[in-house]
Amino acid sequence: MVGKIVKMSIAAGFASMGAIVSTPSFADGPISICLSLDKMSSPSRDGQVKLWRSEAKELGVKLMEQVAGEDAQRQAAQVDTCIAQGVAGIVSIPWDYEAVLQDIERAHAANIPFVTVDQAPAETDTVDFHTGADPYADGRNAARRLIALVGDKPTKVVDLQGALSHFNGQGRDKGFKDGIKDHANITLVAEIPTEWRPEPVLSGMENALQAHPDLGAVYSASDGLLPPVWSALKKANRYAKAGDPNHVIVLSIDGDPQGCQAVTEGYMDGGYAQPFAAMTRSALEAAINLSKGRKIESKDRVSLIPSLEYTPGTVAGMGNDVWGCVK
Amino acid sequence: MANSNQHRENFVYPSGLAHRERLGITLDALMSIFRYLPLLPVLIVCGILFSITIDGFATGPNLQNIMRQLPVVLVAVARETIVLLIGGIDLSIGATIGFSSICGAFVMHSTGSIALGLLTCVGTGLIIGALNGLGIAWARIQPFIMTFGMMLTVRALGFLLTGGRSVGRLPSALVHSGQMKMLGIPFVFLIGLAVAVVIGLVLGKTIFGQSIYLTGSNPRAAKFSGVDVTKITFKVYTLSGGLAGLAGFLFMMRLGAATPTAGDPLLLQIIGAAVLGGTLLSGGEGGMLRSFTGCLLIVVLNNCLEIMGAQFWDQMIVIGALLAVGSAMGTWLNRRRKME
Repeated sequence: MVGKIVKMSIAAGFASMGAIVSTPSFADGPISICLSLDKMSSPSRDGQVKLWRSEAKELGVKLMEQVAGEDAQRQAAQVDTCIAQGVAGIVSIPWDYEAVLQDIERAHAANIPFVTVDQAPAETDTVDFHTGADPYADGRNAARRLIALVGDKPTKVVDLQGALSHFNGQGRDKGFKDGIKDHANITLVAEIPTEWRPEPVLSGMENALQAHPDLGAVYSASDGLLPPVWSALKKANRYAKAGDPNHVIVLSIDGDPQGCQAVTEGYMDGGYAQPFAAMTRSALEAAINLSKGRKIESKDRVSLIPSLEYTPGTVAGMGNDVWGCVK
Repeated sequence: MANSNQHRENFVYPSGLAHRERLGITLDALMSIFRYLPLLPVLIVCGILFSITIDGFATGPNLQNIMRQLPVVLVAVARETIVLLIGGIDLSIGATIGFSSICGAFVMHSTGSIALGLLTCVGTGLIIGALNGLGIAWARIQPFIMTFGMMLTVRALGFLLTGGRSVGRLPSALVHSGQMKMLGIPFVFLIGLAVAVVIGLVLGKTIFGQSIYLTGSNPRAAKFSGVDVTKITFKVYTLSGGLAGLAGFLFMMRLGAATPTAGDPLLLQIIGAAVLGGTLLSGGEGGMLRSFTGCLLIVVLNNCLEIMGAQFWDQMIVIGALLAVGSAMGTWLNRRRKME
């Protein structure tokens, strides 16, 4: 008796869900694009989203924003939700560059084009279009800048690594290390794996400054990691502008507002501004074109846009080229 | 007319019951089911409400999504349920899922064998669970401390093995099976459901299951009843480790990759689902059917919030609030049951 009633209640619940079938929400109206973000916990993501929203408005596109909160499983579920909602295309900054391959496959099975931005998937020939900066080149450029600043002077460096499960994290780290490896005067004294989070940076920097009070430089994979760097330097009385004997050379990638401010004020010696405006625009346009059946040639499928180096000497004349400096 | 009404009320059904008595028994049975499964009416109401108000919820593809999102959480919740039933807790579940998935991925890379990968995942989980069990059952370390330490150690091992990177390029047969459907039902869901059913049967129909309940509700009384509480505790943690390993394997089927942080975000959902469904943190009360309803509610709510455009922090607020309300309700219902 009880068993029958349990079965009936469960059936009633599912029947009620199955009885009313609605059409996907984006069947009519403006073209809809699913924007699947890995996280929102950094100024660079904030900057990118603002650009996407304004470009979507300009292009007449409806954005369905999803934020995965640094969780690959959640991102997969959100992509599934977008697919079920019948979006015209998906633009994604993947959290896990291996797991995203399955997201791409499922989207393709539903005839939905998949575009990646900023973080490339493990196999770029699976995705319909990828656009981003060249993280390896950014790392090499930062190394080049450091070498130009220190010359032959023995210099100890701390490397604040991004997430090594990411294309950007790996590329920026490898590029920098390859750039300094032939310079015996530059010594990497600490590598701090941050997973793009500022929390490990403070303790890592404090330990590094404790062990190496004569620390000469800090290379940061992201401007989002800078605030704890400044805190640690202040504690060690090493927070000083360029030209001061206590100054520590700081080089960082992104070009966000705090990076721009630090370079403008002279606390940071060089930044590498990500070409977010170009990236967001080209990703959205690619998704729209692909959704309308237009093909992208294989040779054009991956578009790497160089970052822009800005220094205390050049930032004033760069106008809005550095996205973090835009008022 | 009055005569026909009276005739109907007094009509004796083949079962021997009058119409009114039959209705009363149906209502009583319903109430006792709802008391045992307090989330069932919530699920039914949510199902109806979301189908009407949320565009895109009650579609085949979305229901399939919900079924695809369930299995990893469901198997992990099964694991946590049996641990909670003995009055324990296991914080290492997320780290075990991640680490076992990495071990399985490495084995599949080197051998190409999915079966070996599965055995590795489950075996790794069993070893971790057994270590937890040894520490808690024999060394008498507090479950919170033991599993917290295990969580940190296992997670660190995962990072050591991979350098923080994901492990992908898994055998294509594994990845395709993660997308397979049987009669429209995702294959991974059927696996998760089968595990939940087996655990439910073990808990409800075996002496081992009964021993788990006894140990959780009153370890001293269980001992005097002839239950070897130490062995039961060890077996429960070992079994739950194996289930976490299986959850790690399902994770790989679903995502096509293994990562050291695979299970980290799941801890809140796992414990929340078990507690929300009515499994008590103090032990001795609860079960797989209840945990299943908790799991289903969390997944359905997350799905609805995503469709509505809410962000993951909104989802956490909702789950957190539900957990508080659900726990309070569970405690109240439990007290009422005891008074009856």
